Amino acid sequence: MMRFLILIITTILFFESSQAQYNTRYFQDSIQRLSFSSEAGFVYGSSVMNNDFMNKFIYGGRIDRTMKDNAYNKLNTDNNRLGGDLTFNVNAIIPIDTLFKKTNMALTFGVSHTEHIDAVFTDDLFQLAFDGNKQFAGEEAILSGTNMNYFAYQKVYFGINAITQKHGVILSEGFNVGIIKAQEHVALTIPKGSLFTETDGKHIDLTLNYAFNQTDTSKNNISAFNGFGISTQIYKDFALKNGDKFHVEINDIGFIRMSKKALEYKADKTFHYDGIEVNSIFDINDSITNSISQDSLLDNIYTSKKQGSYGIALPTTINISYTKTFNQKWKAEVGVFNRLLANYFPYIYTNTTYYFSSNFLSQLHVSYGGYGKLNIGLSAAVNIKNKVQLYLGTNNLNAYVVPKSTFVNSGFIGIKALF
Amino acid sequence: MMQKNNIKIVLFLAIILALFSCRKDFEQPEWDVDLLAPLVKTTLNIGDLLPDSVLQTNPDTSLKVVYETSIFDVDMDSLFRIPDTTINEVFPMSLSVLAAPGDAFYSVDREVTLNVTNNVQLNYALIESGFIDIEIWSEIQEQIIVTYTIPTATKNGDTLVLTELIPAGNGSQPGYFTTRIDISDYELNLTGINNNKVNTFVTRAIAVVDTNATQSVLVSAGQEIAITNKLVDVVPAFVRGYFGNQQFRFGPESTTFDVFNRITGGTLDLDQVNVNLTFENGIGVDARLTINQLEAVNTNTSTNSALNHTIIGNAININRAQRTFSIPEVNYTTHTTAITTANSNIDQMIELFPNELVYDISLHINPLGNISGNNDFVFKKHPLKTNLNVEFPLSLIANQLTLTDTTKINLSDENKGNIIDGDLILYAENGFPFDATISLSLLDASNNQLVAINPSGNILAAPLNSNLRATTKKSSKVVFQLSEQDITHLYNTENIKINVSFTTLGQPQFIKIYEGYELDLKVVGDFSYTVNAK
Repeated sequence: MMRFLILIITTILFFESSQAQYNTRYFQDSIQRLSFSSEAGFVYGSSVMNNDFMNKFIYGGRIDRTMKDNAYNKLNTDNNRLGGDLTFNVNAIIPIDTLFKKTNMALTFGVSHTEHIDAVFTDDLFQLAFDGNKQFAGEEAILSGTNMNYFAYQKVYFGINAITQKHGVILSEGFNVGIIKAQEHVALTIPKGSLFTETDGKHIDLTLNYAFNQTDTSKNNISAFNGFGISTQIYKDFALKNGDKFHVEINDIGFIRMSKKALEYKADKTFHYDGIEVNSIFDINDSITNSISQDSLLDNIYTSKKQGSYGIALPTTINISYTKTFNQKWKAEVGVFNRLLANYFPYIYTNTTYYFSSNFLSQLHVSYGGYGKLNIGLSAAVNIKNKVQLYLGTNNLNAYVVPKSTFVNSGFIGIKALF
Repeated sequence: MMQKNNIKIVLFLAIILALFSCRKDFEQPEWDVDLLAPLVKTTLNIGDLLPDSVLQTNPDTSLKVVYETSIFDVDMDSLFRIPDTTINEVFPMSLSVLAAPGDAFYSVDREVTLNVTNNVQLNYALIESGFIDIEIWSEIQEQIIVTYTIPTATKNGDTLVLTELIPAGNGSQPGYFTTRIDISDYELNLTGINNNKVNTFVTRAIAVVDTNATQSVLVSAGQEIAITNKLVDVVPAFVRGYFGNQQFRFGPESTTFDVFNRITGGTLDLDQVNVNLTFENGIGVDARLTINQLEAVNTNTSTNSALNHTIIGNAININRAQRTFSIPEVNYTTHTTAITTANSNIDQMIELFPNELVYDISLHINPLGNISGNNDFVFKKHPLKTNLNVEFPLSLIANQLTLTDTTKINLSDENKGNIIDGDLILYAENGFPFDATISLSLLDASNNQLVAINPSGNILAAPLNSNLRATTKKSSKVVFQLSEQDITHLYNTENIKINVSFTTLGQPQFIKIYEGYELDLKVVGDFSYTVNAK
């Protein structure tokens, strides 16, 4: 049982993750240019585990008593969350003179890799995973309300982008449509569940109403084809008369249909375990070790198991921001970002940009929400001879400075070559 | 310009792919958890302590041990054997004759004597299995037909006849033929041509010139036909005759006694032991048996105890079995001697927990001579049997009666190093009127002890009522504390030896063991465990 719970948490956190940056449009051209760009980013966070804990969990190391106690102090029965994203994409913009009688248009093409994880869990599940079931002797550990989702996919996308100017403001609008190849999906939902350990450990009762979905486990590397789907992205800037602008962007409107090799386990019953029956005390031999080393109990904690296709909706993101340009040196943006169907807490952010020159800037990021709490970040971007643009940053600079007091970590890097 | 841009694009993409294609696999985190879970459960009854096959229930539901073992058998092989025998017969031509196709030129009957051991004189045998390998050499320079007959061998009324075509000799090399005859189920009259001999059967060979020969052949004086009969693996099912006035000695030899295989120590006082030593004679000979020695031996403790009883050294006459001429084929003659606690030291022999019985027995057959008129008989499946029937009620006093077993254990590599320390907690619900102590010894592959683990606490005996009967169970908790060092040893353990010692409650009274007594055991693990320990 212990190992099963650990597996869940480990699976949840094994993959470093992303969707870090919400505004990386540092330099905007007024005309379309042939360009190639690449971006990579990650973000991971939790409302319970600080960065010290998370870094050990993800990158390896010993999670000690103090770290666990600090996490326990942050437990909140109704809102224990964690999540993360890892993204990587290569993008091309190819200008075209006119399309549908509009000018300054471009075609966009790209490929991307996405991994996403999110979970909501109970206090007891967390304590069970990190301190074992002995602490619950004579009590129930509540598992109800636990939910976990993980998926990885690759996408090929194409779209159209248009650049216009209004009230002296450069505006961008467009859409992308992507074809998804699913690599892996795992989802666990426990609407109702508990684990009771008898006072002396003589028996354990696991009451579970759960559903567990998983794509083919025999092949889940990047070459795996475990389903297909579609995702779309639309975005548009709106100019205000005072030179400010609104940006509205909706990402990942779409779905993935998993292949027929996917498995679904379900149960709604109480599993009673009171030891492995042996014929004689002289036959104990490796039954003891087997009961520890193999999840022999857990192999059977389902009442239905079926193989077949199923679909999931992508966790759609919505980003709305307002940007005010004070002068050639200063610009500020305030926005709200939310991700649906992903155990996500609405994320409010500000980006304050200072231009050291027209080709070099720095941006201060302050935000709250998401999978963590307060975030302070810093990024920098440079435009080299109008040929190459580079940027590097994090929305969680404090994660590197005070990891024991911060709960999210992120980073992003990008390069764009213009021709 | 366009070509220069293309090169830049390719270079840019190559750099991007190189940068992001190498994703690191990180180390696993580790942390400690405290686990409390049931591991195994079992219920012991008396059948787990003694073999089920020896337990019987008395009308009052108390149990008794009934163990029957064969000490030794005197069977047909003990009395005699028919060894493989080769008989060479040479038939030389005394006169020269011109034989036409189909002409018989030779016919002769011969007696063949078997070398039966121990001077046993057989006049009849029914063969269970066996063969006669026949080889025939012919110097006649034409194919001949040899008809080989054993007129005294019949099967379902038919005589054993073999007719074969023998190749012609060529002057320098005789014609040669060989075959194997299965003589299973043949009856052999072993009294010879004139029915006045023993161990003798008759063969007949008739030779004729091949009827398909194109011309007559000259059979010259001195030309030979040679026949070799080889009796191979002859096993009779039944024989009759006179088996002689013979004396045999069996032993000193040992036979296994496996009632107490698991008991390795302590003492047991039995209220009563009854043993019946039974001789069953299925052979048609009178027998006189003398038991020179009967001894119980415990080779584990190097202790032994010889039977002290009037049967030792005194001859026992057992009459011959009688044939029924139906199924079963004989009526056994039996002789039983009762050996009890009252007339012997049999209880002391049993209380040694013997694993062997040593016997030394003399057997004299036909002590009065050939009084059957050559009608002694023996069936292969009806020997003279000596059986020991041991019976004792499980009414006993046990003191540290120790059962030991060694079993293999192999912690999986997956978990090596993960358990830090902890307790194995044994919860017992004891329905036996025994106190019990359990200890473990962890052994390496050579069964050298790595560490002994002794628990705190004993399994307590169930309380007895006024009839000295346990009607309720007693709960006990026994804790095996496993230190970090013990756990290290556990990971190197190949075998684990489990010792369980029982002591009856209420000594010195004899306590009966009743059907239904049970000991419920549950082992709970209370361990500190490192997840993903390196």
